[in-house]
Amino acid sequence: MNAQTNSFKSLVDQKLVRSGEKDKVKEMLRTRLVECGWRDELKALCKEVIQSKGLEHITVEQLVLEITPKGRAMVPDTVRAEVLQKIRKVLSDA
Amino acid sequence: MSSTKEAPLAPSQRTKLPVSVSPFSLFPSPSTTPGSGGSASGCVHLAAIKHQGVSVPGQLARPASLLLDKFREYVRCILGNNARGHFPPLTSGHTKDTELDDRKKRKMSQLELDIEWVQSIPFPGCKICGDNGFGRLHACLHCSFIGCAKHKHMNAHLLDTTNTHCFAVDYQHASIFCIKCNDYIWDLDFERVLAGERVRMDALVSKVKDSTIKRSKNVEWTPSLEEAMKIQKYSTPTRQCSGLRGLSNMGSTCFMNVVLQCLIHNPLLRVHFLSDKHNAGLCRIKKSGGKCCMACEMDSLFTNFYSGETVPYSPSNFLYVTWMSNAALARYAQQDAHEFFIAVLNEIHSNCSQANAKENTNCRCIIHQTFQGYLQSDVTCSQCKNVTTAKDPYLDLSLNIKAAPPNAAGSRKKGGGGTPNLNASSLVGEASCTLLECLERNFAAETLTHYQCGNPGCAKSSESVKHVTIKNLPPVLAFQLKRFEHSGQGSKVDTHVQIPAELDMTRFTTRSVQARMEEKSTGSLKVPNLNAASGGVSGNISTFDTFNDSVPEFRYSLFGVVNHQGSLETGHYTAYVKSRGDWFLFDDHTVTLATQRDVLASKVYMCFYVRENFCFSPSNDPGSDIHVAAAVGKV
Repeated sequence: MNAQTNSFKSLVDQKLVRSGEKDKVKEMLRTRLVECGWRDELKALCKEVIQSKGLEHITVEQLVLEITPKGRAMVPDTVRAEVLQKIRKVLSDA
Repeated sequence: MSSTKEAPLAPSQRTKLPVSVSPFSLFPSPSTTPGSGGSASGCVHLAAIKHQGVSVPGQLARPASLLLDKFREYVRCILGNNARGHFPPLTSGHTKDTELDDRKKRKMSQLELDIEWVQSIPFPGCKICGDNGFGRLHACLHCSFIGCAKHKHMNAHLLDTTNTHCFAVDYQHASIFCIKCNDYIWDLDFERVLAGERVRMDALVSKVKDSTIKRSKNVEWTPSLEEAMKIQKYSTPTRQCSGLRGLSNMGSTCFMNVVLQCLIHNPLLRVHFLSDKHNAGLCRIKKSGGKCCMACEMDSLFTNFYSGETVPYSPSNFLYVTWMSNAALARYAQQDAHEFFIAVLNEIHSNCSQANAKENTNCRCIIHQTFQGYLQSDVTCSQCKNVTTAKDPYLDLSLNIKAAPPNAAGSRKKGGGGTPNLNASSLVGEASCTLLECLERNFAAETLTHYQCGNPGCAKSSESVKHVTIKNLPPVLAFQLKRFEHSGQGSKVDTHVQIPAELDMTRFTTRSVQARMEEKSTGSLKVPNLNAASGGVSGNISTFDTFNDSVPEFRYSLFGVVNHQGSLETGHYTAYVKSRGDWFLFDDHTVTLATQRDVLASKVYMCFYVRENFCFSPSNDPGSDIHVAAAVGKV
């Protein structure tokens, strides 16, 4: 199952890259996340984590591990839907 | 000042680059002499390599300079890769114009070579799993291995005991990872290389986007012994200061205090006044016997803010000059902060500019350089499709908070028995809206009735479409949200307006709008309106139909906010200002630390944005943040 998902993922990725749409989707996602305040929230969250643990006691890797699930959950559904929509569109057009 | 004098550079110190690395020759490499000024390093392991067996201080050991060279090579690829979208596809059949003079031809071909080089950068991928983007790729600084961090392939490579590789560079942010520290590290020599390469890539991208762009050369200046002595002799002892100071309320002058705080923390004005560009001793007005020069007052305000004093300051002279220059503001009454802001800008402008004070069009005074932009309004006649274009300067943008239906005044009256449906929707509208929505509304196409077409062939009075777009954007963008309504009895609009900390104005620019229109007409609905197609799934008004690469980005970040509490007649102003990365709340004489959350949640009346990329800077490149997004919030 997992291998299947992975190969599917890379297939989608290839299609996106070949059509040149990947960068556009990326840029759209970036702008949306900034617009909705996700980036600021995430920044604040990172600061909080670093301050609570102390700068000396945390590595980037740990920070990424800790922040990742929270950050994913914080992405607004509307943004998620829009990106999905966009990717679907690219795939169906290609 | 002999700041243009170039410091002599020992030719041997210049690192000579193999031609195969990159043919960047348009722009001389900014001083990237390794180990020249101190060799601070945040990593003991790197520091050990740097000075191993080196007797001459300031010189790098051979293995370290090899690392540095490798790093430079990678950085060029990384920056080029990140900026790839800005480069046009190379025209293969380019015919060289023989009439161009030799120098220009060489320049042209050089630019082409650079472009070709960028396009030939291979797409990186993890050597083990082939991951090509979302796995946080790293490149080994000792060999040409590329691995991802997601599956720990880079870690495995660095931990491999058969080789002694220790450092890797992140293939997106160009930060250095040390396996012995198990974390990212910093090192001044490497940072310097990165900064130098960034400037070069910026310059190249600007050149590609607009070959007519002129960039002033940044000349480093190291004072000679004589100059250093002079500086020491004439300088006064400096005191530590934060540039933060409260302003006393001298009787309903909070409107002035908030505006002054926002002006003082405006980066462009700060640089202008702190670099002594307006010297009260040399002031034209003061010399000719005049007493009131607002630019001089501004200068003295900066002097007082950066004096190291922390007790609240009373800008009484500033108030006096305001009263002398503007009769409408000359009394102890509550004034509108925005009105005062505009009055101050105009007064400083007229004090600063020389003979052409009346001529506003091409003023190079600090105010116009900082705040002025142009709006373009295109009126298209529906009969003959003739377009009349007008250009208007602006110092700030005033935005309506609410949509203005023709019967707005009537429907806004509370308790008026409108249909429940209508009431509900207007309530939602009043609860909150975003600055982007306000902008969209203000820059939406508007239908004019009874428009007299200027085309002599048409000259009919008919309906037409007026479309206002932004022709030029200033470095500092000031917004006023129209909270005070003076129609009828007057009221205050209390709608909360959500402002973004980072604002992209690109889509409101004339070029962007025109590009979109063109695409619509030529691409004939290749990409239908996303919102319409998705049934308004995003709730966003903006569409992402185009991300035209030819449109430069206009990204702004928030640095000042003015809030108003109270009613139309009476109230209080406070301001939030960002200083050195932190937000502060200024309430007359008190200054307190604030958070960005407070700022964005406040009821904004005016807000100030400063442009992030003045020419073009991929240091704020689209890639760097998406990377975080990809690592953290995969959709």
